[in-house]
Amino acid sequence: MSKASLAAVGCVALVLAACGGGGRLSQKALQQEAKTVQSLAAEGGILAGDAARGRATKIFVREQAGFLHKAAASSVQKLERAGNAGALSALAARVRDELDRLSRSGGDGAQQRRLGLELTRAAHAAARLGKS
Amino acid sequence: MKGFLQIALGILSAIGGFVDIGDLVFNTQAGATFGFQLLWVVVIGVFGIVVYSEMCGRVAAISQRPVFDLIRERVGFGAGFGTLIAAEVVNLMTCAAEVGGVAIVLQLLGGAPYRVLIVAGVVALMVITWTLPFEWIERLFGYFGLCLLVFAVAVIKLHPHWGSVAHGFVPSISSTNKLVFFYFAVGLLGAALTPYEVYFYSSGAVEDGWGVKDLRINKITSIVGYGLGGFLSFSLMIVAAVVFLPRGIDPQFLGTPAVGAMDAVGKYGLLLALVGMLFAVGGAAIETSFSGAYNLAQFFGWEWGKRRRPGGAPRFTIAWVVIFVLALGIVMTGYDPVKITEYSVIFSVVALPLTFLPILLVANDAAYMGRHRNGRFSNVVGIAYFVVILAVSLSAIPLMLLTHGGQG
Repeated sequence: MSKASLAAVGCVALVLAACGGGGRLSQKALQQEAKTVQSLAAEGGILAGDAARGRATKIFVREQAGFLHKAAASSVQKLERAGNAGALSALAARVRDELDRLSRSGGDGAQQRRLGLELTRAAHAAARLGKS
Repeated sequence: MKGFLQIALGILSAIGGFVDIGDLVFNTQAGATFGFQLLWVVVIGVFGIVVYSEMCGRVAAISQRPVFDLIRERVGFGAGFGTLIAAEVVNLMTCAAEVGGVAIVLQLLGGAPYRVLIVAGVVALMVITWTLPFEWIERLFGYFGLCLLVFAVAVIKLHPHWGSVAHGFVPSISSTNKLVFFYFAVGLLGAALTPYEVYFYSSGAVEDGWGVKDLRINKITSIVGYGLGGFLSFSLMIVAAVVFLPRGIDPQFLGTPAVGAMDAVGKYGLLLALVGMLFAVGGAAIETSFSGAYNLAQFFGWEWGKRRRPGGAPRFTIAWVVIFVLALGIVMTGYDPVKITEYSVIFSVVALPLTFLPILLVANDAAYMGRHRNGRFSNVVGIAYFVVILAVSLSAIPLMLLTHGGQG
């Protein structure tokens, strides 16, 4: 095999490895992902708390929680694919599900209050995981 | 009395029209990441846009010609064409970001599907642009943009530590994450000193038929209007610093600034914030499409102006319609408008020297300006700003790459 062919095969292998996305996440990448989960959960916590107190419109809660849910789902996918995220992966999945429930909570103040507390707790947990 | 009213109305629309999607995104992200530490950078940015807008308005009033016309004449076809390309790319990216912003805010207000709202938003903006006279477009978007003052109310209700806020106005550099700090500083300057605002302001002055008698209006409108507009930027940053920073929230959505207003002021605060954001980004979408059409028409010597009926300046009209349609196409690909905003602001920073150098040269040229050329103060400040702009322009893309767009 010529040098040029070897180089081409090497490049293709590198590109495939990069695109595969199945690799483990580095410590720094995990910390970054923990920050993302913390941010999404904390914003969801504010949204749910204000919704429970009648300080938000139903449409805004549905749509903004929908955006947060979509971002959380993408984070869960990334963490599950990596396979080395353990507790963070489970926490992200919980945040994703709670944001989904929030986006569909309509005018249920009791559910929103409960979700607000749970999301705030999840944000603290993500912050702890990000530091460990 | 009439003159006073005219000035007051101009100032109000300048305040309301100051904020666009770049300001909403960068001020909120900067506050959520660095608290009050970057407030001083906004002061520098606002002072810069005041200095250069005043120059642009003066050039337009004295020469009766807009900036791009003079750029081509002063720097020649080649350099002028380079400036045109850079300006048009940035205008188109910014217009796409603003159009996406309009759709997102409409979604947060009304809940219809995003892609339907992109099309509806662009059609509404084009109908408004086609049917309303120039001054009504300015006033409609400027006055409703004043709803953003709810962020100032939110600041008061949040009771920030005023000593720390005051400290944020003293230039300093963060001891941690220096590169990210510089990235946000560059973004804040870019958001305040957007080239399209300068082109739009100058062409608007020609459209309004400004002359020597209007130099006072130009000075007051640019200083007070943009100065108070900067006040909205401070408010956005302070709200983010108080509400988001302690909770570790990294604002990645256009609705997040409204969450800050909602948390402080309640449901009416939320609605005012959303309406203000809608008109701020909608107005900026029209300004960017116009700015792009102005640049093309002025560079190639076409008939131009919103005061003419669409048939009276056909190529100008086609140009702003095409810019809207291209922006629509970009946003319909599904690319996140907040990401487009970040790129458009950083690329506008790269193009800043190409915009501001010709203005500085023309404003200082006695052949064009006669006795109204720059005085010593304008020149010193203008040159100092140009040095800052050059440094910022050279560092913008390396900083964006090194910090992964501010993610560290």
